[in-house]
Amino acid sequence: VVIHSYRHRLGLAPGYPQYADVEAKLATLPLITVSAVTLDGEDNCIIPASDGRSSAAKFSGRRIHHRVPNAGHALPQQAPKVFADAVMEVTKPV
Amino acid sequence: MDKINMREAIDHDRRRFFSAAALTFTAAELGVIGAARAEPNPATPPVIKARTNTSFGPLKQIDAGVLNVGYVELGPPSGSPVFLLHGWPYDIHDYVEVAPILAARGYRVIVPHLRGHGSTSFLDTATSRSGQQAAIGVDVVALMDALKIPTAVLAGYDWGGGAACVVAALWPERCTGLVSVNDYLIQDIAHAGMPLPPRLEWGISALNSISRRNEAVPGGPPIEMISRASYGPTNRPPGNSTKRPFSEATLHSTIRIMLMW
Repeated sequence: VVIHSYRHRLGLAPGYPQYADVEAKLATLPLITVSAVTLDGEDNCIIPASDGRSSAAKFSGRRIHHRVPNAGHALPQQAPKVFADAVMEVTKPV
Repeated sequence: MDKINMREAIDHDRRRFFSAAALTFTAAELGVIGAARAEPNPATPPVIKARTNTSFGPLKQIDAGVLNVGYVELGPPSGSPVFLLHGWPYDIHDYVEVAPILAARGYRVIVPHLRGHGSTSFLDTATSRSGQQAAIGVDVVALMDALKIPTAVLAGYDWGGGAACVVAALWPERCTGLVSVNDYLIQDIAHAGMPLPPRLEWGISALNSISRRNEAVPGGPPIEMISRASYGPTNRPPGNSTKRPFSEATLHSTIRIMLMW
């Protein structure tokens, strides 16, 4: 599963036919229309933290972005309260 | 029947062993990098607290789509459902601290092992072992169906963040809210062979450089930042052995892989 995941992600292995329809839709990089809270760990060196603007066009609904200090890539482990608060925030009525 | 159960138990132990070994490998490597540099660094090291909760209660199992999914459930059954989706190379224990917080706030919290992890297994041994983003997203929808949960908040990072984004984008009627670490995670596979934007290549070149020479890249992130940023101290084994029980090629392919999400 893991090997296929990364090979496929890099375009080095084909997807399986039963997922071709879903994968074709994903290839259009569809918009996310539902309410979203996004978090970037400021110490994440795998994917550096951003202000969220570069992906803003992909979110057409309400979207809140936070940079999280003292957290890296495995953010739920490193900033559990912040992650839990984000779940609260995304479900909060506007 | 007893024999089959026994075999499954052994397989799960094996899987735990390998996942622990993989984790030790990456964590040990990053720990070594941090220790190898003697000069002080101007950057203030982040303070990452050790976790206080380290385990869940018993796992539940349910058939969902092509899988038998192992998961934990916390909080009141009548609570608003939220799925917490883990990353690679971890498992449900990403959420040992998050889940009780949300349960205490009245949410029905469901934390599944994604395909290839923990006690989640394929119902049919002939099923393709796909790891593609579509498969992991479809698994989440199948689990929601199996649990008869029409809508939920989907929250995740890394593999789990990707799955949450996939479901939010393609099945918005099932998703009442998305929490995603690192924003929009649907993979642009058609452009996977192109260079990443400079700010992302920055991380790759820095890690490659450190792994080769134990040196930081000029203008790149300080070594201490890289070594401790991505994986917290809670997952780093003690000791600073510089012995590498793997080849240089393995190291580079693994680092490259680690950077993909």
